[in-house]
Amino acid sequence: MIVQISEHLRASAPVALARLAYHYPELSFALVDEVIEVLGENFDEAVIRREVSYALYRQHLFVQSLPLRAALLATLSHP
Amino acid sequence: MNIWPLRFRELADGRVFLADDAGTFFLSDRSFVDRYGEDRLTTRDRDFLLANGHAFETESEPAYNSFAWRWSARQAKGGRLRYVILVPTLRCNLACTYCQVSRAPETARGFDWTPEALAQVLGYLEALSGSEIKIEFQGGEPLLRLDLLNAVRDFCRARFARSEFVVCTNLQSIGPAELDFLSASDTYVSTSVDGVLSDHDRHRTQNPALAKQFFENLGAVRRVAAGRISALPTIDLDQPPDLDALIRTYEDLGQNSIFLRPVNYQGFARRRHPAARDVGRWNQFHENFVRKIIERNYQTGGNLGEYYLTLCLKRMLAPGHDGHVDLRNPGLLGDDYLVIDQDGVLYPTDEARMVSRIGLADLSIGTVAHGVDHQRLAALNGAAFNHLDPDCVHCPYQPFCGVDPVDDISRYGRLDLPKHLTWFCGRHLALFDLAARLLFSRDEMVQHSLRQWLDLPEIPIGLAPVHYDPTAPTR
Repeated sequence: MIVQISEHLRASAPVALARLAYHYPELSFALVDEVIEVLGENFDEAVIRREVSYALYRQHLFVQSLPLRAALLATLSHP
Repeated sequence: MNIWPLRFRELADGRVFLADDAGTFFLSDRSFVDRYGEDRLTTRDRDFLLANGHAFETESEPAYNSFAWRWSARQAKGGRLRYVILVPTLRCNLACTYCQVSRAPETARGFDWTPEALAQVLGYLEALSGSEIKIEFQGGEPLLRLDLLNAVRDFCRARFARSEFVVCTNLQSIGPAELDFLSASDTYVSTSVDGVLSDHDRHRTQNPALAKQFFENLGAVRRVAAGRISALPTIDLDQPPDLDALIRTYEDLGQNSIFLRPVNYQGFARRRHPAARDVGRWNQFHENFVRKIIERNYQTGGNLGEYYLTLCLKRMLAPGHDGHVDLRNPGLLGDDYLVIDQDGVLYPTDEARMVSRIGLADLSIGTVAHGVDHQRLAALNGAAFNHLDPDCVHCPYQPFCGVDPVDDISRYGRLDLPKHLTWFCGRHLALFDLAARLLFSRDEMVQHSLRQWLDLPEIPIGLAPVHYDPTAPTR
């Protein structure tokens, strides 16, 4: 199965794939150019496609929001 | 506009539960998650997030400080040691199949505090700062050494301005002296009632006459300690009690809340109750029970609840519900409570005592003679919070949830398993999924029980916000 990924999510792919690999150890995930390739047998493509998207979103949002979280902790540490 | 990071999780029906780091949550759908993840939120999305405290414009505005306060309030504060579990004896007059403690036979010698040990414990309590103390007597069966319990209680009453005592007892052997001890208004009883007599007998007394004696003793104690008794059932999934009978038993006891306790994966239970490893079966049993009491409450107008689910619901809805030490975050060990074992060794929890007693890992944190070993304690506390776990950081239930490093060590011998593979995570994901489905349910039957459990005359709409944007363009 091939999952297309948006350009702005590409940087999140390596960490997202690492997470997917241990959540779905029966499947194999690989970043190939602009797509994520999923190899395995008897899996629900709709579910895995969504899980790949969610993993990418989560990593993207996590990195994007780190400055906000750091600022919050700084505020609370030194009000 | 700045949006505080939102974590999300699909519920079984495809709807998506989202929450920010401060635990403020709402329900939406996959299309919202796509818009959020792809940086293409609509004006309606942004307005909703701003109006509901998930976003702010500048750090100088009240919305920012409000979020900072809510985040801060979500963090459990431990503080001064004020809850001490004491084990005056390891001897017990029962041998329950799921016993998690390192019990000794009732007639064994050398398993009680010596006079020197008692003096050391009192010395330890004397040195505590603060004016309040809560003492929990564990065992073994602590009432076998009523003299030691009296000595501790007398000491604490004199030493502290306010003191409370909880006796965790099997109520198997109760005479006038025990009844007199338990009749004091500062003394509470915690016991196990596994259901009707046959259920109780199967796991605990293994002798119907003893089970009958237990229920007679329970009745006698209820007469002298009304309102100060809490009972809970331990559930064996291989031989579960009849739920209707269990409910009737607790209603007869006058309890409007039942804490369904799974067999703790400690001690004897490792060998005799392999089902204690199966979190899926536990979750199904638990949800069946909750569905049953929801239906029953609606039919009878009753208010029966399941203690732990109610705790989870309350933790979702507001900060500050940190009194249950097994579910708080950070769950700092050896902080505001600890265990002094029969031999004077300090443990952060009773489960840590068991893990150590069976030789799996030494989780002791000092001795009553020399105090807390802060280096050992710090090593344990490195795993006592969920903020930085690589999976918890993406879980919308993280602000309400906790961690249980001792259970992880007990079950898996390690702390670094991916969280979703642990019993703790499997149980709490299911609990919070259930809680979320209930909170967003419009079913009057569910709403009736929610009102009772949350002590609310009505469930406000804003308690469980929902956001959809039907005008949003789709991909």
